[in-house]
Amino acid sequence: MAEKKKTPPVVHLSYSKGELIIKEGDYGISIYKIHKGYVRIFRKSNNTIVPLATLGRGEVFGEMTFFNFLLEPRSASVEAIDDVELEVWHPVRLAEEYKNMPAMLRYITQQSLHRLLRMNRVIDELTAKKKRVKEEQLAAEKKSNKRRYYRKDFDQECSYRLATHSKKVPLHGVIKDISPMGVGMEINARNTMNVSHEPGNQLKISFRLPSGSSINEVAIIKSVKKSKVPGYLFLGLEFKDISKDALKQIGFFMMS
Amino acid sequence: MAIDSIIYVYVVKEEVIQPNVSIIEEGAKGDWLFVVLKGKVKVKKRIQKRLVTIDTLGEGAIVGEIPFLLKTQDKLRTASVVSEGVVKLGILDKERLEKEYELLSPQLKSLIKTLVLRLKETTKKASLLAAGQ
Repeated sequence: MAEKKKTPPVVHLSYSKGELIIKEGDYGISIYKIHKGYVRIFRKSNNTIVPLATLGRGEVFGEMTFFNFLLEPRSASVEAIDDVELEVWHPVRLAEEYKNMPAMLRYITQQSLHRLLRMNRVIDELTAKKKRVKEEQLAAEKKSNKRRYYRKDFDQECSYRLATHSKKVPLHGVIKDISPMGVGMEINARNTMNVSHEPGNQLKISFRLPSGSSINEVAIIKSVKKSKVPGYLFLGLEFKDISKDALKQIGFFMMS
Repeated sequence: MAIDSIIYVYVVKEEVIQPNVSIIEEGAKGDWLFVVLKGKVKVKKRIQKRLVTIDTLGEGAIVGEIPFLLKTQDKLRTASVVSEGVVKLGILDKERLEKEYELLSPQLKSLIKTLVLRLKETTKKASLLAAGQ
């Protein structure tokens, strides 16, 4: 009889598939033992679900709050995978027993709890680091993709004028290469006789892509070089504030 | 960390361990518990062929508690423990701890067992991550 008295009160509960038994962040105090079915334990970290464990018959959950002296909110969520039957233990009498158990056993248990909390922190840090490294790798790959796409050969008539002289008769050139960053344009050296073609000048350029889409953008002269063709110059142009649509069209062309 | 007087009551034998000596070998059988009385020990786990240090423990730290509290049949050590410098180690009175543990209610025993099981799994997960996997 004495043994029976010591046993804390037990309640039985049932949950259906998909039901949440414990919600991370809530202040619950109950401890659960699974009699039937399976549950999954997970945590949310930066809006991603981190699965922690799947537990079945005979296994216990809700122990972290208990050993944290019921002070901390639930550290993870628990969901029923199928129809689940649970035995619910009220922690008060167990906490009393824990408080009165031999000090050495309590000392060992508390140490295990602290190590577990530390290991959880280590996992969080390492997971965040892994994510950061992966993102950096992706960014680096993207950058190298840009370089790979840089300048696709092209041969298309282009009309242009200085962005500051919008009313003047347009000049003509031929776009020889293109990238999402800008274009390379060959012009007759005569074009420079009356209009300044200095690096830093802004040109309003208009041309068509093979798809038929027209591109009308402002580009900055980055370089002026002699072309391979005598009497011609080669302008390195960089788009100033390229429109999203133009970028998309050029992107399609680059991939074609 | 000062050593709690309750620990000394349980120390049945003291040993001085030289630096870099393996106190517990991962995978070996045993459920003796030790306490670090002086110095520091490193906890290491073997991940494939690499040894990853997962924790450094100082004075007052109990080591070897996992097989003792899990009560598995095989009593396998889940990690290695190596002395960092010279370490004074206390061997704990396992029989007394065992008796005291057996007197706990089945619920409290399963709670402790669950906690230790989580520690074992989490440590494994952390060492896998630390090894870059």
